[in-house]
Amino acid sequence: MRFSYSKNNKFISFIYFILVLSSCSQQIENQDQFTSTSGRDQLEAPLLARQVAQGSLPPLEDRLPETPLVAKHPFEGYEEEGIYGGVWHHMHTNTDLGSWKMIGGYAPIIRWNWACTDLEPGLAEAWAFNEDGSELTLKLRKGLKWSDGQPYTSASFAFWYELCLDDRHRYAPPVWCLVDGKPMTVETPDDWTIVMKFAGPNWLVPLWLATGFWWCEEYNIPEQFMKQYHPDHNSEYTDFVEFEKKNLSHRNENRPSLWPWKISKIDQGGFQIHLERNPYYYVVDDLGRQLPYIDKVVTSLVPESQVRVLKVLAGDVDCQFRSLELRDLSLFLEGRQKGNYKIKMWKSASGAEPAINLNWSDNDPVLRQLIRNQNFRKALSLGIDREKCNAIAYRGLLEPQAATVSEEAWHFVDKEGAALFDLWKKSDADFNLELGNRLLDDMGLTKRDEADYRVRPDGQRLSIVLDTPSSKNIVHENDIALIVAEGWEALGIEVVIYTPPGAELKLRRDLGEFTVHLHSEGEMDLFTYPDWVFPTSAKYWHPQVGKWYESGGTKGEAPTGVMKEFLDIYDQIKREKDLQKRHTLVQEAVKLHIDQGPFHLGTVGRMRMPIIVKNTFHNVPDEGILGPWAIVAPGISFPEQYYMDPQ
Amino acid sequence: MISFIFRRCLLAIPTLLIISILGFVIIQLPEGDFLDRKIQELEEMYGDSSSLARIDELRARYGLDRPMWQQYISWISGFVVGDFGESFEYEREVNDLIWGRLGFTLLISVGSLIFTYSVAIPLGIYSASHQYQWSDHVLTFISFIGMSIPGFLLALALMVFFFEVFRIPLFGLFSAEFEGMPWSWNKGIDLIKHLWIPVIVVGLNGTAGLMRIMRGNLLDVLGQPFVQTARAKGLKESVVVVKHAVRIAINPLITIFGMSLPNILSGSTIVSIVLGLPTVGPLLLRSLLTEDIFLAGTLLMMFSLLLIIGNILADIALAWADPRIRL
Repeated sequence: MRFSYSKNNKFISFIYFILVLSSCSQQIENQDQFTSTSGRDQLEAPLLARQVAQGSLPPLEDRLPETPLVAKHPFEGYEEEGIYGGVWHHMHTNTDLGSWKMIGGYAPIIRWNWACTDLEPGLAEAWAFNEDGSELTLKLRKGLKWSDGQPYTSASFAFWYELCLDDRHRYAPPVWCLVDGKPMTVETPDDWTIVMKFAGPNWLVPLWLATGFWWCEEYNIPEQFMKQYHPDHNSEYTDFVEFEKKNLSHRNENRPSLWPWKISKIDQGGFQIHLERNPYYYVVDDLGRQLPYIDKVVTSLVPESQVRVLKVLAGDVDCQFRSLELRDLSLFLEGRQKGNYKIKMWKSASGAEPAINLNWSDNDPVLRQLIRNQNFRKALSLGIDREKCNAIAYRGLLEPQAATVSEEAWHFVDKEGAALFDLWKKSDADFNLELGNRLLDDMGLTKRDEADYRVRPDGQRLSIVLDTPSSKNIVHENDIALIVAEGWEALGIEVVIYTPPGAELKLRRDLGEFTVHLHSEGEMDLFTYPDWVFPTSAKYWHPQVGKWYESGGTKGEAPTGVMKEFLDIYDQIKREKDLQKRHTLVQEAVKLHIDQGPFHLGTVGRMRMPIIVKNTFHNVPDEGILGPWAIVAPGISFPEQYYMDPQ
Repeated sequence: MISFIFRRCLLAIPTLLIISILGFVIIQLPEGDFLDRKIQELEEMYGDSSSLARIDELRARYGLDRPMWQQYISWISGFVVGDFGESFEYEREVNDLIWGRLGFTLLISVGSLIFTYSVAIPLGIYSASHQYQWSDHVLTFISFIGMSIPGFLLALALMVFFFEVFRIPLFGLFSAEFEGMPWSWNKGIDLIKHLWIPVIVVGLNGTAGLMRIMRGNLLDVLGQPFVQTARAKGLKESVVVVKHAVRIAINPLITIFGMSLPNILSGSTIVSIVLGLPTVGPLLLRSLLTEDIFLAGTLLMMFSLLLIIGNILADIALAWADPRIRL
């Protein structure tokens, strides 16, 4: 309670005084047998113990599965087992609650481990493939329950997949269910066993089950609850409109959850969301005590970045992972003492902030031909002053490098991989205008026009349009675009920086109607998100070839040459049983990038991201990788084991 | 008088209709639609938009695949009966989103208006009746400063000042402990403690201008023969000024009342964005940026409605104060 406002108003102070007195006396009354013990000997939160004593909640042993998942903490920053209680104040920036789901929305069947080097059990205790990889058997933990006490069984998964095969609504089988275009079949011999059968080997499925919060959110459907909105089970409904609405976890506080904290109240039209502990949560700490430690979470929608900064400085936030900018770091550092927080610097693990993507299939046939010439791309890469990008856009806090995925990705952990990655990072990443100009001259682009720009083979001025986003979410990219343009102008190339309003940027990118566009790059797992290195989707530097691959050869442009090599390697990866061999195949593709690239040009990478942690907030990893979404950080650190000092 | 009011109200209907069509078209002028924007934003922020797969089904559900005139007809026909459609961004009824926020917007706007008039008129009168004395110079100086500082800058400066000096975070309309709580006496007091900043910031620009206008008008009137007559009758100076001169000099201010509403509303929008207030301002900005058409359209209509009502009220007040208008 703050007094400071009302110093000059005796009446208000008096009211406050009364209020404080009354709230104190209430607190004293509330301190009954359950909260009086301060130690770590309770197996469940006092809040829940009270409900059990009142008979409104079954005892702990009936709420936990037979073998609960034990939270791991293989990181610096973990202190000890926590104390129950507290309210975690948090901010989200988007109505889809994405930044919170990255923390408390990770409840997959199989999990990524903390280092992102292996998979570990989640809702499932174990999983196994048959000999040829066409059948995956998952063994769920017995006695798992939704937050309303209903059992979570294989029927949930089967219900979801049945939904996918139905085409009356927006749910459809995800890409990883398909092998050669044929969807899998799902069998559930008993409540705890899920058998997924594919048309052929599908060794990457466990990775997909573990990746992102969005897949587990999709396949974890509380079927008992959702059936009441399903037209086949409730004749009140004739379509799936209501079903789809009620199935949105962040919009429906009644939808049962598997999260550590379930949504209890959606306030002020979704501008403030309250979450409270899930009494049936299946994860325990080393001492076998049920998690989470923290009782409640209040997360507020704060779309304005400067208001977020002020809220942090004012100490209104207990722990915040995303949506804070590196450029405000000095402010955060200054406010540490007054705001009673500390700053932990996590890694974005990005390989390019941003990457300069050159459209392999430019609509202009002359530019297309030029971009497909390796020396032309090399010259463009040599024309980027990366030190300057770093100094101006990031105050020298990042590292100049070629465009890569994450250095920490598990494909490059062995010695060979690390050496290869190092080579990739340095390839064509110098700033050398002289060499760049010489490469362009050697290509025959020697003729200059009256403004001293090079002339293309068809007699027109060599001019490149650089698409940059107009969004205020990305301030660095506009700085970078200017520096890139400056370098390319010195190569005799005219650069037009184009900042289209609204969604035009995306439309241009989707249709492949761009020459150069910027996009940040970073990925920990190329098996599930290969499109940074392999042209598998209609994005980045390969919109048309990616479209061809995505559409099964019906749209876009058929791959030739090195593009075909990339896609062949990725198809091999999908069929390869041996993990080490799969890593080797990724490394082979990277070698292609080094030898025949660059296909997308690097600027700077390895951004650090400030994490705000109150001094009263504990067990947060000192360092982690926050960048790529697919690994769901900090969800993989078991945020349910964070705890707060008692008030 | 009755037919005058009736005529004004009737005229409002076609005006609103035209505004709704213009607004709806302009909102959708940028290329792409809400979903394109959303995906672009997700990819810019996070590098991935997998959570928005199967965009065509969503587009059909939102009705974004239909031609614009069909979208307009279905929206405006619902509007008449109070169904404003669904906000794409917030995935809930526009109705759920706007009323509370409109209330706070109105509260701040009306508060600013009251502040503006109750400060500007007395100061203007004082300034005019003490023309070219040092107190007039001081007030003139202050009012020029007030007119030249933009509201958002003042809001930012105040926010930084209060935070650095008193450690009071000024954003929002409630302290953290009251946010999301049901209404209570304490919450009301908390609201009032937060409310004065935006009210003053929004009102200040108008106050300064209005004060100058009041001063100028009154000076004009004070030079007229009937004021001389009043003085010659031996009336006290205060009666001459307040009862005879101000009565005439205040008429233009009533007209300005109608005109100052747009300034107050847009001023409150910008200040709300800076101060993080739960008014419709930030909601409107965001909905325009994301092409959340039904929310943006409804908010624009609400703003227009407020303006039209304000103007009608100003007209009525003027007609009441000055019989010549009624004819």
